[in-house]
Amino acid sequence: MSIWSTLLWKEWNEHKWKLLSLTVIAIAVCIGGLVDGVSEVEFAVIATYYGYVLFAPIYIVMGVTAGEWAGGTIEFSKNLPVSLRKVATVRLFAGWIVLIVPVIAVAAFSSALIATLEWMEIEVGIFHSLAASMDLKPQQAHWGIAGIACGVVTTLYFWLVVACLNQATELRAAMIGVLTFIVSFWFGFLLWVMNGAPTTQALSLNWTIGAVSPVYWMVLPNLQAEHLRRWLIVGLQVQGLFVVISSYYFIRFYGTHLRQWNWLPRISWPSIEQTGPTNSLSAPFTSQMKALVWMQLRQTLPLAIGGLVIVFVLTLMATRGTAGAVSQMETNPFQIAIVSVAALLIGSTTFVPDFSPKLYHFWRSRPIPPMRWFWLKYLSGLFVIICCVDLPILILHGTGILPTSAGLYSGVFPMLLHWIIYSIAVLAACLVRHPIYSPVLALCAILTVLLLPVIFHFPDFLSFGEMFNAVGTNLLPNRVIAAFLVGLTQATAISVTATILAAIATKRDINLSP
Amino acid sequence: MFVRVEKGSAVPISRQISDQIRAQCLSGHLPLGVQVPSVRQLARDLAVNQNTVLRVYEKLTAENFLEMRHGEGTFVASDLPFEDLNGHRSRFTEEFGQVVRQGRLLGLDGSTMHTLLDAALAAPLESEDEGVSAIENTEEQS
Amino acid sequence: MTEPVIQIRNVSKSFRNTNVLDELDLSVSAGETFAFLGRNGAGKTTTIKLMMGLLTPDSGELSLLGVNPVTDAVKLRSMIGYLAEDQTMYDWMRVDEIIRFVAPFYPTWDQKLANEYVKQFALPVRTRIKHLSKGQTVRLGLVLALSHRPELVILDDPALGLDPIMRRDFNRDLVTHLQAEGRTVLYSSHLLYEVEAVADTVAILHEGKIVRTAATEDLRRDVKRFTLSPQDLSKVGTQIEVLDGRLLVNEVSLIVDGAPQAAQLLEQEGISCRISDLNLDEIFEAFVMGDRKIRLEWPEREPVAASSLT
Repeated sequence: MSIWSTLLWKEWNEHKWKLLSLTVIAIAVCIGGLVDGVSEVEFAVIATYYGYVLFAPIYIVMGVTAGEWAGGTIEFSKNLPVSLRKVATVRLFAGWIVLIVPVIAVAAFSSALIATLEWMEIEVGIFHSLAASMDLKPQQAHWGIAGIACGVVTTLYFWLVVACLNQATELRAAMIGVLTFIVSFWFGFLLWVMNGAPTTQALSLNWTIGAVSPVYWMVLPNLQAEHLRRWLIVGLQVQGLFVVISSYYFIRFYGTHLRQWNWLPRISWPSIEQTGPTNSLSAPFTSQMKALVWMQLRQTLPLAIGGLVIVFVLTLMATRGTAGAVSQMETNPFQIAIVSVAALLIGSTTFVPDFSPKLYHFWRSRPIPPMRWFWLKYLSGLFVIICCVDLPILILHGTGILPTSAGLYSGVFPMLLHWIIYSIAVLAACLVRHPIYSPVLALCAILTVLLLPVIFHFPDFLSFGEMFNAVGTNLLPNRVIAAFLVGLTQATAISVTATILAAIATKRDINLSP
Repeated sequence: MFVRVEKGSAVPISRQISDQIRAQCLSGHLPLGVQVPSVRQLARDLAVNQNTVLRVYEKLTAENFLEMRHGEGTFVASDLPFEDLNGHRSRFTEEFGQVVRQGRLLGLDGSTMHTLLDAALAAPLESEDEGVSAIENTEEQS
Repeated sequence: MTEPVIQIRNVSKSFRNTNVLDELDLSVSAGETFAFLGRNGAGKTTTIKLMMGLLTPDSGELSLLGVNPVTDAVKLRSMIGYLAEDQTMYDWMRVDEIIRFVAPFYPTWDQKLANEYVKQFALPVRTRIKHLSKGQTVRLGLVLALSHRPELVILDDPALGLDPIMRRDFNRDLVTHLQAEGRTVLYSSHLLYEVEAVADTVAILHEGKIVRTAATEDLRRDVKRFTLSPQDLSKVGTQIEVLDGRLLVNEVSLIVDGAPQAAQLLEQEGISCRISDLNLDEIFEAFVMGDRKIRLEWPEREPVAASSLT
């Protein structure tokens, strides 16, 4: 008994801040969505779940699967007088609970809100109409949707946990996580397209393999009570089986061996060509700039490859998916959102390792100019996001391979968004220097910067989101250009400020231990 | 030349080295006039600061045990101060007495100590004080 | 007398409310091997970080090789060879890659020398740093610290994690590569018996202050154990600096700084005592852990005239 409680205590300490931050962010986003009008509660809740599904599972899983390897504590855990499987079991389910609690918190919050609204006899939006068509009370429908969100998050969690198991760093786990996520999403759409109307089999497959798609079903007007019931019955059985299998896999193989990326060095250019005898050194770099550029290339190359793979999968998904019911209305925001998550993770995780106290001490005690180091690193990360992800997508849109309705300006806007996200993530990484806290802080800051003007009805020219919308709608050309220019100015102002602050933070030695 | 340095001993390293060289000169282990390792060489072999070795050589030169010839190296002096030998011997006698007293305190009788002495005498010279300390640094240099 | 290579004057540094360094003074002259001793948390690493310009002092002045680390850190770092405590390098780089990477930052980098060191240290050139053993990592750190022929080398507890054989080899490298070439070495360690063999000068850092600096030999000469009878204890005045006093069954053991003078003093007073040598561990312990209170309990006595000491 005490073994379990000790293990739980360990996980609790590792997860408490994640749990708190996720809950606070989720409820804050939900409240943010309510500002336009309390009766819009269904919109706020679905938007919250939507964002939550995109970010939270990857965020939790990268800690659960790679945290102990990256932190070097896995050897310690292995040597505990406890079977590693017990450690893994507690770790797996603690992570899952941390993931589920914010969903329930949001549901409880909005449920209370709905109850209050009903008591005040105020009409509650879609929930009410949906509930009427499905013969459900608003509260039931509401909890049903919370249940779907839990199910989706659970499915994703167990998929990701298997896919990202035993990665050496959290960044690697996160990248694999993003890919798994996309593939799962894509499969969901494919199945949906192939099966046409949602049948029981398709639904159960959707539930497991196409884990993300049920979230989209939540907003579909033709969702019927029957479907919801089938999900809750058949889905739960399939889900149960799936959870058991992936849990077994995780518990069986957790910590057994590191998954090496040994295939990477072979394709990693530019590694040093093996000239001369194997025991002698080749000539050093002739300039400091070359040395730093080489280092950044080596560090960002896996990311660039990952980015291109993401683009490839997104393209496949969009071209295969649009034949059916999925419109670009849904794939375009998805592309932007998934690249945003990638930008956030790249911004955080490329900087954080070099800030780990010992490595930071190493390169700072060399005569390496810290500003040059910072700017090269910053630009190389930005280069990956813009040139390896955003530009290819833009080109695919431009050449018509990806379906598009918008013009060039709205194609450039995602880049501006990703620039903002990346810069803020870098700032958070330079300030906090922690693999877990810095992405969370970055996420909070990004949401603040993007949502605050909307929530508090700032003038439109202060709101990046409004400009984004303005560019997407079919306005007069000169108004589109004006909106584009305002958006560009906003993005530049935010990003440049964040970057300069990050550069200043780089020079600070925060290692307080004497 | 065989010199060993016992690290962590209460006897300073410089004295450990000088005592051993002095004793080896007087006992004839180092023949008169033979060249001893250079400061650099001995420092390297013992992993000991060169200045320490240099000071030892200078001190022994001042005491007429060694002779530093400019440009050639350091040699055992051709005329050793054998009067010092008596001093060393009397110090040894004193220490020997102390060892015997210690043995008595430990309850060893005369015949046991004789046996021990015989065994120690029968052992080859180089290994005569093995196992003095767990932390030691032994070097051989011929 | 030439300008000292390291000159630290009245340097204080505190973190939040903890005073880590308290008006520290330190001076290391050219060609010296200077051992910097202290318990964990005594402020060794903070001092070294200040010297590397990684921290800024709250007050006081530092100068290394005539350069101020606060204003000219990057220039200074290119002139110093530095090996951090438990140094972590980019673990995804190979041995040859990190050497290739670090080289252009040092104007005086000598690739031939680096190659020699690599051969001498038997480092596997094409191995990734994460696969190196502890000893190999330290040696690689040394290659990075020495290949630009720095005038000043700062080594922060390099023996940490090395086994006795590797430590001896390391000391040997230190003696042959650095002392033989007249470099100045500042060397922090917690393994005192290792330090004694190689250091010219020893400084003991305790609670942010240097409590003693002396040539290693002098320290051994100056700090000794005096054993005397309890009756004689009352006759000993405050003239003797006692670092540690211990009352045993029928004798008192005192560790005394300034042993030659103390011996002379006791002889004048006609007090018989046994004087024994101490090893560096015991000396260090007396300085940082010594129980000096016993001295306060002694009856005050008229101090012996200072002139009689000389």
